[in-house]
Amino acid sequence: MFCMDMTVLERQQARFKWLLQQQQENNHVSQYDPLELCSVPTDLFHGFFDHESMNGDRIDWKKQPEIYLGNNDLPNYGGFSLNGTEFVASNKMDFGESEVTARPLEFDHCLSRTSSCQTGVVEAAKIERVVSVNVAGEDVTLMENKESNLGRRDNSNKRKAEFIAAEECDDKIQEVVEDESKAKEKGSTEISADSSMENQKTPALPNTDYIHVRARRGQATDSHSLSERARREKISKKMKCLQDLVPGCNKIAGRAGMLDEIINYVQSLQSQVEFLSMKIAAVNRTPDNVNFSGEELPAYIGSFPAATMSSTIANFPAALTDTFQLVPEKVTSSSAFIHGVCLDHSLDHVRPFWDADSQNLQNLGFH
Amino acid sequence: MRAPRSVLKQQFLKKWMMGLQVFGSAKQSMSILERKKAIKLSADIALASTRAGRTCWSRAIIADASKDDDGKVLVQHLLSPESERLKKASTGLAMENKRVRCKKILKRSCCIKRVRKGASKVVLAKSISKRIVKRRTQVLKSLVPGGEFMDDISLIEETLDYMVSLRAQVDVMRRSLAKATEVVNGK
Repeated sequence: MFCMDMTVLERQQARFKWLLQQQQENNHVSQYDPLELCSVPTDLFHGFFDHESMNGDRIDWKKQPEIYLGNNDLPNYGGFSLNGTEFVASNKMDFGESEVTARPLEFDHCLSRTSSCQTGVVEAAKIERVVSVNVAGEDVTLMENKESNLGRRDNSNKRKAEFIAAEECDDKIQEVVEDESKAKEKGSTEISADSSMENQKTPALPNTDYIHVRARRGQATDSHSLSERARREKISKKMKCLQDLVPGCNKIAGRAGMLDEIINYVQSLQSQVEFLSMKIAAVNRTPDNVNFSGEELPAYIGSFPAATMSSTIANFPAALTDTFQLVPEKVTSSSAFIHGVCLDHSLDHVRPFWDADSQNLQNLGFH
Repeated sequence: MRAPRSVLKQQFLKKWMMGLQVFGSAKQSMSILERKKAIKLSADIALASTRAGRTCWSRAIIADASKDDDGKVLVQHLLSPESERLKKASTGLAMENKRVRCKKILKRSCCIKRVRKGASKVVLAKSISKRIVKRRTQVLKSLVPGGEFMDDISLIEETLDYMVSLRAQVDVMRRSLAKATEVVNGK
């Protein structure tokens, strides 16, 4: 009966610290199996569970233990940052009270008293399990949110903590969202915060996974806008990569303009391919090839430099091998021209080919 | 960053030459347009084979090419070791695409149009820009092979990869053209 005299606050802190320790222990576990995590503590604590007069709190904790994580003297609890598959809980906790840390044993008992540990562990497990669920896209958002929240940690803003439990997403992940900028509750305002929280949370949070997402200050915190925001951040990240590829896109800021440039570029590349393949086909024309019709050619002749239409046109393949200096300069039939051997050797020679011609062909370069 | 790009180019060139070889003796009898088509086709399939199976656009190109005889031959020739796997992948892709298309049609039919009330300027501007972006993504989807079946995020990734490959293709083709004309003029 150690924790009879512990206040609600201390119990919460203790519980949270326990959760944190759990998470830290399981940090590097690749398989997040909530059942495993559940089994251990429940064995330990099962016998300790007994009724508590603070039913209201207990119910709260059962359903939303996270509520207390941010609203008391633990203001530094940011969201969990999902870093790929690594789960790094925010360790920057200012517990403030040294007594909390000094009584590890009592934590367990407290935890058993205040809620079913199973739930608590499941929560912790869920938090970790979240990582294995495919919210990889959220990591940017969450990281950013976490950073921005950490920056505001030292604000002395004291606004009420609002906890909004979001609806289920398509893949049945429930998001519990806290707005950390408002999470500076202390002492007496705790209970009122609790009640307000109670009003805002959804009634039933069955054993599903949780994604802890931090909303930025002044932004909507429901799941739809959060996932939408995560998606947008992903897209803008990728657009930045594209910006480096497409020439002349450094100045363009918006997505629409970028898309326009990308479209133009891809279209120009594709038309270049068409043009070049036509040119190559023209080069390949042999003098005795009378199959070309008079109508087709004039359309293309204008675009080709006059030199290409010289009558002493070798086969294109043969011409290429000549450039690679592999095959003696005789015009062989195209079927016989490319031997497998040539191909193998061509690779060795291609690199010097590229290097040698890079200077010459710089002016051909497309920019 | 010369090395990876030139590796890609070498691979492409090799496969392209292999593809051209397939046309071999028929080259003499082809019209210029047919020749051009053959060249372009083998270039495209060669390009797709450098990314064999890993990207959506390459699978789309191979799937499209396998529909007619010429393409089939080329695909078999160029991708002989992996052709079986890729054929399955591309047929699977066709099925998946149909499914995606049906889902999208369903989604659109069920989508409720939101009524725009007396919107402020900001909101209006936002909706306009959203429409523009949407329209342009549609255009981009039509450009990138196999793009109609991708969502926004993977579309951008595919575009990225496709652009890199296209650039390499253009580079190789231009250089080989230059060299060929050089040789031709030299003679």
